[in-house]
Amino acid sequence: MARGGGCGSIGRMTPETIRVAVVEDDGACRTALAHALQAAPDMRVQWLAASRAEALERLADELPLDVLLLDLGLPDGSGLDVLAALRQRWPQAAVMVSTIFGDEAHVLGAIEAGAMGYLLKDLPPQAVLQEVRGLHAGGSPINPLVARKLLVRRQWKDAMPPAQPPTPALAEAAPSAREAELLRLVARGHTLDEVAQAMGVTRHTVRTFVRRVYAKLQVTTRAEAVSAALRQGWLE
Amino acid sequence: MKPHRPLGLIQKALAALILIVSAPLIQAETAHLEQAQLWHSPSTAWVPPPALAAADDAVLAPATPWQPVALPYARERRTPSATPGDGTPPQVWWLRMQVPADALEPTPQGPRLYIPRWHTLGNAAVYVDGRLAWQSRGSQVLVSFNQPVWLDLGGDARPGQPLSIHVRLAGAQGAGGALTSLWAGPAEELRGRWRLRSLLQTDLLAYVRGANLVLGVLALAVWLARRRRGETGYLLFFLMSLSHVFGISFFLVDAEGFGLDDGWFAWMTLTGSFSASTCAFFLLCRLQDWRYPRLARALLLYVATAALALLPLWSPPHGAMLPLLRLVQIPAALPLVGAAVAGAWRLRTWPHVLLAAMMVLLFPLWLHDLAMQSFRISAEHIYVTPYLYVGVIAMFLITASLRYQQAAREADQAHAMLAQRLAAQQRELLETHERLRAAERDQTLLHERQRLMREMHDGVGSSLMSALRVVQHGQARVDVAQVLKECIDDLKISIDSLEPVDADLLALLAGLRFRLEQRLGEAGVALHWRTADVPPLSWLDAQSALHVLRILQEVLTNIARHSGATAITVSTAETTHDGQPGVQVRVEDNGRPFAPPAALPPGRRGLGNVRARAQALGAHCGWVPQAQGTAFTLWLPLQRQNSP
Repeated sequence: MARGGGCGSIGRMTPETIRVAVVEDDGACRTALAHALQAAPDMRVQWLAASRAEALERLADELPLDVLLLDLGLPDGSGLDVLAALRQRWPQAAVMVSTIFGDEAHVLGAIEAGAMGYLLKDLPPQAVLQEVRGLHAGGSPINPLVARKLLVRRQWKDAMPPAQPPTPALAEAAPSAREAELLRLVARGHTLDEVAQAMGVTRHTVRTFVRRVYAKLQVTTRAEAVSAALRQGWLE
Repeated sequence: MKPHRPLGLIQKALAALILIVSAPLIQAETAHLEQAQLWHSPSTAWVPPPALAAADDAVLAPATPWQPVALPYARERRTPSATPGDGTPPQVWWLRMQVPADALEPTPQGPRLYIPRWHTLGNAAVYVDGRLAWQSRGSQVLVSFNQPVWLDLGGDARPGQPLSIHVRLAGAQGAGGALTSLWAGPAEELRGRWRLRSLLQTDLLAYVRGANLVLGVLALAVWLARRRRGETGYLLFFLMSLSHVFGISFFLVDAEGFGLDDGWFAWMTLTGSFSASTCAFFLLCRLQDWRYPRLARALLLYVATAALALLPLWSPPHGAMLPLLRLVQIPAALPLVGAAVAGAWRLRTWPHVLLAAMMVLLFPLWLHDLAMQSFRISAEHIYVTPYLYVGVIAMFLITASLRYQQAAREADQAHAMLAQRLAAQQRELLETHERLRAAERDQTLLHERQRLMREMHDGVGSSLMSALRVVQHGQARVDVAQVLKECIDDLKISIDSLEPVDADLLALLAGLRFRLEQRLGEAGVALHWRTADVPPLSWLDAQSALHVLRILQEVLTNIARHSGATAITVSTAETTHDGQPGVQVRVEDNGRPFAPPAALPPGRRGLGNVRARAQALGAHCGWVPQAQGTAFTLWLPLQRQNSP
């Protein structure tokens, strides 16, 4: 079924077509997602997988991906392995982790590992399509819980010590003033539309700001890992 | 009665030692003059004549009826009716001796005459070959009876010829008198004997008196330094030492006297003795931790009365009655002896027993000294009572030092016990702390369990139950999907409540909006967010956060379900309620105005929940119908008085 889902819509492929894959162990949920995505004219489901092993196997295929919808809790291991494999195989692809609660523990962990967004599992189909399009367009979703955590993250402060000259990677990694303002507004409960209005930009621009913050978080996380490794003497 | 015998033995042993050491140098032989010739002169002159030839009683006349007597010689004392210096004539008696030529052989230091003791109530004079060689000076009452006489015969001795010695004693009528045997010989041989006696009779007493005084002053210094602690024992010891100094000065009069009035001097020594006994008594009471209140009062009364009565201001000159007056001291010493014996019986420790034994021994020794003073026993004995006082003081010192050691041991034990108790209390404290922490953990778990139970019962659980019933009974008019969506919302809000918000109400409200916006949007209600910064709510823990979230969730979903509103505005502000500072959350809608009825209609159970949760928070909530719509306000205190 998973293989068959991908092949049917090859003929409709256009440069705007978003190539999507889904990794989801819950059958009903997977089917619902597949139906929603296949119904959209601008999307194409490349493949579906129900387990980590299956997903890794499909990643080795030649089918390129733009967006991967990934459930982290898989029966045979962590979805983070799939995430890492995807980044190797298709570096340009964006990953959305699907979550029931959208709580910061799951979302931030996934973003640090390379995901660019999250998808609430109880979203109606149209909202799911909107999220996928937004992600493909270079934006990322955010919610107050995640924004708040990003604001109070100690790592930002550690990455910006005033006394010592920051390494280039870390200096770039700190959120800019506008990004910090964005996070503050979201944390206060404002929607992205309200934030866009307050900041005088479009909703899409706000979402790209969010993507930048996530990218910086990933850089920071990697820089931290490297500096930790240096401290441990693992790297020369 | 010869308690002096050990002393005599020591004396002889020392003398023998000195004799042996110096024997090879000396040819001269010491003469011990134990025989003399006695004559009672009719002379009425107190002052001895400058030479025998000038004597008013013609002592050199061949007709003088000399009688042979043995030395030491004594004339018994009867209570005298007269005192030297009161105008009555003295009784004069002469003793004549011959120093053999052997004793006067020239030696490097020359020959000496040594008289261990003379005693009478008057004066004494020694004539060598008719020349006045020595006479007593100073007082005629308090004579230098305890000072041996040491005369250089070098100027009078002629080789190969004996010397005649005359001793003139002039004493008050009935006062009696005594003279020991005499010694003549080279200084080298006699010196040891003379020095030993001087030491035992006066020098040692003087040393002890000085040491005593030093100890007393030390005790006084201690008492002054610790005065506030009420340790009068130190003061008593000082007073006892001081009294002892005065009390024994009687034995230390030398041939020159002290220049004091005889009456005052005698009174001083008497009161010194009284005072020493009294202080010793009180000190002993303290050392034995025992009180004899009546005895103490009687003693003080007696001592004060006696000291006052014997003041020389009004009493007749009593110098001549000194031995008798010494009897006055006995009542003053009795309580001390009694207390010492009783204490020894009670305490049974060796210092107290020894002290009691010395006290009891005091009586025979006292009688011995009294007999000596009355010339009833040999004048060659040594006065021993002063030494007994020394012993008493030494025993006091030993007892006090033992008590101090005992106290120090007890203090050490107390310290050790205190340390043990402290350690035990520390352990107990730790255990209590551990128990408290365990109880706290249990309590926290219990609260969390109660909270979750209530949550499951009122929220997700009841929603799931109604969904189940709908499915089972096939009731078409209820939307199962809607029920399940609300169920998931409930679950999300429950989980959000566990998210720490650091007392930030706005963060909590932001999460609520995130959760409900989509549902409200689907119901056609637009949510306007007008929140303003509010102070932190320190009490905003997980349970309180859930109360706040549930209240607002209930209010918002009620508006969406029942009011037909199309817009909801949520705002926050800092306001007071009944003068108490707090924060207000205001939810305004544009639907049908709503006022909650006093009695809740069935099916509006949610309102009761809102009120109950508000009450649990110490918050206030209310609905105010507006021209268009309703305004719901939830007021939350900044500080909560009592935790739920």
